[in-house]
Amino acid sequence: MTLWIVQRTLQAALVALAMALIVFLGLNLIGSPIETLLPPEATHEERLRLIADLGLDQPMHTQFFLFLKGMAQGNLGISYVYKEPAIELILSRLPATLELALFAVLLSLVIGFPLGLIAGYRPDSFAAKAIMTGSILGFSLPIFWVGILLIMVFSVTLGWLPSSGRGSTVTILGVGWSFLTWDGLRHMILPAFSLSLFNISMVTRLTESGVREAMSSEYVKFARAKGLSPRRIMSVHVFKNILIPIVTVVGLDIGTTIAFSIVTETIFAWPGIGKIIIDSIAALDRPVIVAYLMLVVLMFVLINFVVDILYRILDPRIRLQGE
Amino acid sequence: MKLRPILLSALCAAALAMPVNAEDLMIGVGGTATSIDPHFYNASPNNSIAMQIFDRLTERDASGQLLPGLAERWEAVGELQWRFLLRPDIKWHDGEAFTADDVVFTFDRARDVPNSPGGFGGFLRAVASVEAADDATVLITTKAPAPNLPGDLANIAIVSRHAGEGADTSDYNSGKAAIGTGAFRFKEFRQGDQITLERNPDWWGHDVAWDTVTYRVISSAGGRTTAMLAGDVDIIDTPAAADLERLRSTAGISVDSTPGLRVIYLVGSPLTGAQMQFIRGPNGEDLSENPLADVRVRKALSIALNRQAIVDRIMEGTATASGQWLPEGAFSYSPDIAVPEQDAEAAKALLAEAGYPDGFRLTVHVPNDRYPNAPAVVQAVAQMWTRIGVQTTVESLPWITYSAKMSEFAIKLLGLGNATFDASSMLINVLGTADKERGLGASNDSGYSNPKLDEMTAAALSIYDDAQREQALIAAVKLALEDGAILPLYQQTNTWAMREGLTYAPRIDERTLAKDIMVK
Repeated sequence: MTLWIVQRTLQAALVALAMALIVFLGLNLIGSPIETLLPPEATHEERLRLIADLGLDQPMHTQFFLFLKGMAQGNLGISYVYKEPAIELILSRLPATLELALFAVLLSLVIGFPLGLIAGYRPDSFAAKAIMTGSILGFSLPIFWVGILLIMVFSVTLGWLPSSGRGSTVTILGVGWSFLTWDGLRHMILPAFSLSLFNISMVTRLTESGVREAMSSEYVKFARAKGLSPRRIMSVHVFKNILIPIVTVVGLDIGTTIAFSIVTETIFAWPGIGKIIIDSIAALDRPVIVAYLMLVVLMFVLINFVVDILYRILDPRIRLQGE
Repeated sequence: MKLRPILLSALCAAALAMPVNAEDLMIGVGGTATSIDPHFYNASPNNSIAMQIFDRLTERDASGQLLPGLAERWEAVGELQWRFLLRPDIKWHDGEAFTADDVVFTFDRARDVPNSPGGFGGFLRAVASVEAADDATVLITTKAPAPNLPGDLANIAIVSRHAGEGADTSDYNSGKAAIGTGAFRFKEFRQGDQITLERNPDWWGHDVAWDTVTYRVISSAGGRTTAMLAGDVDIIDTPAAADLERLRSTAGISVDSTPGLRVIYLVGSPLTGAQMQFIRGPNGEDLSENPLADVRVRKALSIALNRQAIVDRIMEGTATASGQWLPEGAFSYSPDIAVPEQDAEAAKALLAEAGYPDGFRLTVHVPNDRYPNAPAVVQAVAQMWTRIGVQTTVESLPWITYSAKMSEFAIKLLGLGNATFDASSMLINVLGTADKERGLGASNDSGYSNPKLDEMTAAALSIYDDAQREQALIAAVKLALEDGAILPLYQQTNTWAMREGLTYAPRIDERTLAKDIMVK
């Protein structure tokens, strides 16, 4: 187990380093942040001063070395645009994205799992066919279109829910959370639902196929023959066995939902990291882009780690690599 | 589009509007203010916020006219000095008295905020020294005659020495140093999300209708429109052209607009370096000379364009066709300069006269994420040019790539906000021969140079008499346009949509100021 953790950590560090290098070279190829940052009225002196202040007059390898040195001291640089430490900027926006993404994943489990059970248990019923057809819609409708549709129906026409923004927040541990207030929850419903639509369909379909497969297996037949109630067969025996693929997918989903909630955040003006990363790419704000990608790498590593441990709990036969 | 005698209506609105008790205002804006520090970054979203918390020595009304601000009066003392007499009994938000010493502190700070993109140094370029003659008098000595100084100072927010000494940008963002004299006090700044301000009951200006004002950043135009339709916000800026009809026809929402200061123009390069990869002969062969160096070619490209059609069909009425770079009514706008008429035959004749009877091949560059509809506009331009024999291809790039390679393009589309509210910012920064010593041509990346124009600009900008200076500036503008230095296309229209019952005199400088939003 210890060896496995060490291996994982080393792997993550290598990935992070390679990515930092790619981002550094890539952004340098795209263009210069100076032209985007400077207002057209800026004087020659202001231009030269800014270039020197940001360290952009140094050669590329010196800049990269300085970045590595800073990173070793836990400093990922100062945002060019906002002039605040990049890592603080990202972390101040992270809670908004985190609660939105987790709420969306929760929704997908709460809605998708029961739907999948129903559809898998009686695959020939009308309800099952309706659910499976509906889930195809969930896969194929583009998020931005669903988002705009939801706003038009629930905010503009019916006026039930707010169209955008985050609403009021409650500060806990120095961070504002909106899921703790009624107003905040109301703001979260539409973006979380449009973000979860794809995942709902995915969970539904995975559960359905898992249940169908399990229903025809030997152990279910045996349980039936033994006279166990259908409820007990489903909730104890089938349930446990179909969980592994779902845990894998949901685990990866949390990661992608956090990392790529950009579209939803833009439509609903949700002040999360998706919005700041788009702004930063448009402004070539390198410290923020690098800090963000570092965070994403870290997040995926952590999630995979948790998923691997869950595997072991769900199925003791599975052994971890290196164990 | 409603055009109003803007100044009058602003004054009437100010006089008629009654302050309402405990009113909150929610504003949906497209641009993100990157800081509360008023000297951090010279851009519209930042300035909109700074103009509420802080005041300036001089102010501009919605139509750009200069008004007294913290300075009640100002006068030129000889050729090289200005005296500003400050309004008495002004208090900072924390109760301290405002004095001339704060102005001295501000001038030092505005030029040099560490790590900031800045952009305010240009307005203080002429200033040699500032001193406080007494608590209510500021004496500004200039390096050269600077008749434009009072206008330039309408861009410099005055900050206090007692709160600002030793403070950096993050102290302003946290509110610690954000102590102004303005109509609103700082309450909360949530980076990229929202900014909350509360009324300053002691403000010296007109009555303000709102107790609390929230600026919410909604960057997508569609998001602003739906927020307005859903009633989540009271007023939004820059709705998309495609949404205007919907907003206008919705009961309870009104739309108001004015031609803005921002001009969209094409500028060609006369240079023969990297530019030549984008200019080829009619069959794709190398050219030894740059056709764009010939004034007849530049003129032909200008009269090949049907600006009115571009404005009507592509901009859907959200722009005003123009043959110069200022909107009607602005200082140094000239009614004699007409919008060039489209004349393809005359354009062909000019090309033949310049030695290009078969035309040439040209690539025109356009940023695809900076100016509304710009790529479609340039597509139309390319068709019109191809019609006179200049086979034109369009290359559109994101601004980050575009801006880094801008100096290599043969001809490109750009916009300018005209922050000086007259012809001078274009004449100095864009058309001036790049010259560090003289502070000319800081944004001149096309390589245009016309010594006679530089001379006329310099001469015009040293005339203290407003009427004479305006005439001299117009003469310089005419020379630049006759020389085809740039091809102005149109001025963008600034538009706001608001709920019924509110009025806002549309500003030519794009700024959304809560203090001037009135209740009918």
